[in-house]
Amino acid sequence: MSRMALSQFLKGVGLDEWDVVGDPKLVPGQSPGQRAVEPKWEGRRLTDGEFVQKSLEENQFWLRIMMEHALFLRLGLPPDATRLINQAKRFEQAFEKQLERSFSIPAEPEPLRSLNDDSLFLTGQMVLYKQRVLSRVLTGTVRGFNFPLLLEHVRREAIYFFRTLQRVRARVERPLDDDIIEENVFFLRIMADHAKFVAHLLDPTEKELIRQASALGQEFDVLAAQARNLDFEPRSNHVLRAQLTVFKGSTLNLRSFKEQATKLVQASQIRSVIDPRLASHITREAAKFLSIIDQLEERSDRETAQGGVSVGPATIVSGQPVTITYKGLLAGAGDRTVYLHVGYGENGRDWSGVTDLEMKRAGDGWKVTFQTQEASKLNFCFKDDAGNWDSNSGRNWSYDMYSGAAVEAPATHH
Amino acid sequence: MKTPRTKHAEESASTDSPPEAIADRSVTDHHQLQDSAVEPAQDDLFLRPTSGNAIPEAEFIDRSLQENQFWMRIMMEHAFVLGSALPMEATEYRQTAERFQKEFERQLTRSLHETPREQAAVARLNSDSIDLLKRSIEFKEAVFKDNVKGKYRGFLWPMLAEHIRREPLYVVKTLQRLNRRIERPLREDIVEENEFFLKIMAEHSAFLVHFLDMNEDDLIDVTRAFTLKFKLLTLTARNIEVEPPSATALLSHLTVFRGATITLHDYLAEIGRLSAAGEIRGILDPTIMGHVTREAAKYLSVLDRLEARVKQVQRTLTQGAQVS
Repeated sequence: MSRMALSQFLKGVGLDEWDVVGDPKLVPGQSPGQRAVEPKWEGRRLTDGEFVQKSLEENQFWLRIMMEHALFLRLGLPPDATRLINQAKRFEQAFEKQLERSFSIPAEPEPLRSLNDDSLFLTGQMVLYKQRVLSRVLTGTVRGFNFPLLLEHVRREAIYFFRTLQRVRARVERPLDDDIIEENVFFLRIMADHAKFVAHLLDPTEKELIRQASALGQEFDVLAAQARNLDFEPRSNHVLRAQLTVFKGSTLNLRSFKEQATKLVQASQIRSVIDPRLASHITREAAKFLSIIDQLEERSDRETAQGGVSVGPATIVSGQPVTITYKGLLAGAGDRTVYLHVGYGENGRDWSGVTDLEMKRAGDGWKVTFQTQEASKLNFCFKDDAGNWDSNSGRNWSYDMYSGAAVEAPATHH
Repeated sequence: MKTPRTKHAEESASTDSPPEAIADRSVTDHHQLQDSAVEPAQDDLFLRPTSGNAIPEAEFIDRSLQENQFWMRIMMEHAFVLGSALPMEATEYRQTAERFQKEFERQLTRSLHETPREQAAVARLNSDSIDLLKRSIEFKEAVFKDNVKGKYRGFLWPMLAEHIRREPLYVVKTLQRLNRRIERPLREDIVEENEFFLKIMAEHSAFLVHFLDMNEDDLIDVTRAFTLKFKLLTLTARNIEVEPPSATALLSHLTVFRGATITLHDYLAEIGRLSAAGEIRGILDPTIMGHVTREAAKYLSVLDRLEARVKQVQRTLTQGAQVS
């Protein structure tokens, strides 16, 4: 759809009369001179190839979601809300066309840039539409069967898609730790909402399924809170990585629950008012979250390797030996020697048992094996004999240690 | 034994027959009916002999009008719920629901304003209501079947469809009994009325849980507790039948039911007020909230009637004891 067709569409929907059209952050390209709030992006710049791939991925997934949102909202609106229903229909058509376009578009930066712009425009309008329905429902001027939480949920997703596309358009990849926290905070909440929707749309007689769905809802509420709490300083990649695994486990569970539910709904084997399209919609979103977790894990592995530090074994048992390999900033430091500066206890506070260990050359990096002390955390950074430090941008490296020597006789090492 | 049996057969065949046949019975007081004139409880395995009373004329008129005025409105609202909860594509069902809504409204007006307080007119009102209800039961059955098959889901929870189908069955039975001037024996009356209404109350709270927004966690908890409580009470209602209980035991059961129902009634009324003011999130329609609140009030009035009956029996018994 061209920009021309889009503005035609806008006229048809009648959105331009709305009083809510106002948030400059949400409506892009209104008038370039006045666009005061252009978000500032931090992070790595995407290459052309990454830009193309990311644009296609996000558009192809979310445009379909947006199209289905329009459908679900329409089904829940009361028949006398003709204006809102017609607008929902227009959105459905517009997103469908845009979705088809995203599948037939040549994979080159230029066409994708205009695809992104149009998707942004359309999604911005969709946010406003959802906002309008929500406020109508909350004030009771429109009733029907759209739960307020559902409306908030779809609005949140539209805003998320909007922001993600904005970032893609600006060709920016968020720093890994921000990315891990923000994606998880968003998606875990989405997953919690889904579980609650399922619990509510099941027939009251489906006690056991309702119990399971409610339990999943509570579990994801807790996980979402946990993800928000990860937003502390300094962030340790190790902790983030462990949390990712926890999130992934729960989401796998949730996805198979949703898959089961979808099958049962399609075959009418459970009593509910769940539309089969809704069931497959939420199953797809769980799969999307899982793929995002996979990407984050890969990125985390890659960046840890780039930071030049690897630690073996993967599970560090306190009191047992550990090997640290370093290929970071100081690794190429000519004939100087690199030292491991190691300490125990909570990172960010005073470390206990601090020692410097001389590292040995191993290939293009440095290596040292030593016996750890009994403690909950192992922290370290690197220095060379010229007084240069690599402290991982002030965060140091910090790893959890597990206590595993309970059966053995007291074995203290220094 | 012969005469009453044939008479009963005639009567049951002519439930909806011209009211003259009924009117010529000069019933002025609660007098004992022959067992055969009163059908045993449907689930009574032993088909124990029952004994009921005949309903005097004035009471017949009063109660008929009351039942019609209450239930016709309820049925009208059920048709409205069906119409709005069915999906758009179920056009035929939606239209039928709308037609039923109008017919029930018509019948409601008739019971409120257009029925003279005469036996014949009231009996005719009753039998017309019975016809209408029977037709609506067929319709509701068809809707329920398609709904549970997953053909028409919309926002009609199957349990809601089932609930809506069950209520008119009760009303038909009640009106039929009234038209035959039969007051069931106390034991049966007390068990069946309570069981019916307690179950209804439990289901109303179960629906409310699903109509509240998922984020109204506190209200959902409170409402769940109501569901559970009324489910347990439903079982208790059956237990009254286990042994012939004393008047004291019956009265205390009724008081327990009444207490729970008063709490539920006030809770529903409060939720209705708050949601009309937009202070509760959910998909609660003010009409529906009014509907469930009124049914709770109806149950309270049924409890009143039952309590009065128990007390009357108790009085008769003590008087009898004093004489002897």
